[in-house]
Amino acid sequence: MKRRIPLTLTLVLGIVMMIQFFVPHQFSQDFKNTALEWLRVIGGFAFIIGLASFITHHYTKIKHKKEGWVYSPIALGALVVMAVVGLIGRSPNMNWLPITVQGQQISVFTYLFANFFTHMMIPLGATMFSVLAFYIASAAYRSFRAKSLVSILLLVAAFVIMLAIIFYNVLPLGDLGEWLLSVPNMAAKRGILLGASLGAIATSLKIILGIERGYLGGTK
Amino acid sequence: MKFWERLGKIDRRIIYIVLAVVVIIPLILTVKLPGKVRAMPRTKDVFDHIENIDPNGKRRAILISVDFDPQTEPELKPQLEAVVRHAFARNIPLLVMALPIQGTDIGIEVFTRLAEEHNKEYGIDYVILGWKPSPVAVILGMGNFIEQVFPTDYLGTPLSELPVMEGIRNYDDVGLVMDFTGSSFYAYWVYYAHTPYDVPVATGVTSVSVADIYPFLGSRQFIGMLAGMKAGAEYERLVKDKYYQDQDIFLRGTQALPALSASLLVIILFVILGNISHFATRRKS
Repeated sequence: MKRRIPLTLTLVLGIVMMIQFFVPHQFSQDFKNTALEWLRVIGGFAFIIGLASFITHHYTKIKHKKEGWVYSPIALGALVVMAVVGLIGRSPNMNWLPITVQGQQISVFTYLFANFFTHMMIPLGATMFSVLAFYIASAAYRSFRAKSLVSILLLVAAFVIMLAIIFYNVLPLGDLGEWLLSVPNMAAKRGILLGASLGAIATSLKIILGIERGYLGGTK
Repeated sequence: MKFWERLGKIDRRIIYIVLAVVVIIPLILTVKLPGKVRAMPRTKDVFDHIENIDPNGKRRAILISVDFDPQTEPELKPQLEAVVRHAFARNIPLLVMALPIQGTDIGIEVFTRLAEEHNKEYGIDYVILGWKPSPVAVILGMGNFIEQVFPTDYLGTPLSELPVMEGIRNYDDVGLVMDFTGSSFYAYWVYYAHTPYDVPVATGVTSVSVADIYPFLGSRQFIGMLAGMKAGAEYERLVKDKYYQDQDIFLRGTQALPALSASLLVIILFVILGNISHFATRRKS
C-alpha cells in the first residue's frame, strides 16, 4: 500500500497531464492551472527538506568533530542571522526598529539584509567562482597538448574562439569563431540534445508506468 | 632539469600570480582597448528586437528574469544593465522576476540604481515581481495569468494597483522575455514559455554556456543571445551610440573587457609554452 498509492498517483496524473496538453477545453485549462498551483505549493516544501538536511549535516559534523567541523557553526550561524534578518526585513508592513538611510526611514533589518547580501554574499560568491579561472589556466597549460589529430582540432578551435574574443574588431577572426559555433558546434550539440531528449522521454515513460521506481527511495 | 622540460613544468603558483597580475592591472588602471567594440550578430538581434517593440502597442512589455546568483554576477550584470538602460531609454514597461531566489536581490539593486539614474518610477515604469518556488509551474502559470502566480509585487502591493501592469495579463502582452542566467534556466523559458505560448525569448548567458545555446538559436527558439562579458560590452556600445552619446554613463562590461582579453592571452601563451615543451622533449626522447 505504501508504494501502491504513489505509483497509482504517478500513473494517473502522468497520463492525465499528457492528454491535457492537447486539449484546449476550458475544463482542461482549469485543471492545468490547479495542478500548477499545487506544484508551486509542493515546491515550497522542498525548502523545508533542504533546511532540515543542511542543519542535520552540520550538526552531525560538529557532534563527531569531523574534518572542517569548525566551519559548521559559522554556516549555521549565518543561516540563522540571514533568516531572521530576511524574514523581518523583507516582510511588507513590518517596519521594526526604523533608521534613516539616505533620507529614507527603513527597518534596521531591511538595511542589514541588503548590506549582508550586497557586501558579503555577492563578493564571497564572485570570489569563489573567479577562483575557477586560475584552476582553468593551470589545467589548460598542463593538459592542452597537441598529441593527436582530435586534440589539435580542439586546440585550434579553442584558440580561434579565444582570439575572436580578444581581437573583437578583427573581422575574419570574429566571423570564423561564429562559424565554428554555429555550424560544427551546433550540429554536435543538436545531436546530443536530441539524444538526451529521447532519453528523458523514455525515462519519463518508465516512471509513469512504474518501471523506474528510484524516486520512491530504496532499491526494491 | 633541462630548459625545455622546465618550460613544461612551470609551478602552478607562478601561473596564478601572472594571471592575477594581468587581470588586476587593467581593472585598476582602467585600460581602454583600441577601436570600437563590434557587436556580434546574436547581440545585434536582441538589440534590434527591443528596438522594434512598440511601448504603446499590444506586446509592449519586456519580462526580465534575473536567473543568476552572485557567482556569475560579474559576467552577467553588464548585460542586464545594458538591456535595462535600453528599455528605459525606449520607455518600455519592465516586469522583473527571478527563478533562483538570489536573483531577486540582484534585480532590486540594479533596478533601484538605474531607475534613479533614468528618473523612472517604481510601479509606473517597472515592477519587481519577486520570486516563487517551482520554476516550471511559475513559467507555465504566467502564460495563463501573471497575477495568478504573482498576486502582489515583492513589497506586497497587489499588482492590480500598479499602473505599469495595466493591460498586461499574460505572455500575449509581452514583447520579449529576456532571461539572464548562469545555469540552465534558459531551457525552461524555451520549453515552457516559447513553445506553448509563442512568446519571443532571448537569453544572456555566461561564456561557458554559449555553445549549448546554438541549437536553440538555429531553430529560432531564441531570437538572440548575449554571450558572456563581451556581449555585455557589445550591447553597452550599441545602447550608448544610439541613446547616450553625450552622456557619461558607467559601462561595466567595456571596462572589464581588457582584463578578460589579457587573461585569455595569458592562457593562450601558457598553452603554447606547454606545447613547445611537449614537442621539444618528445623529439629528444
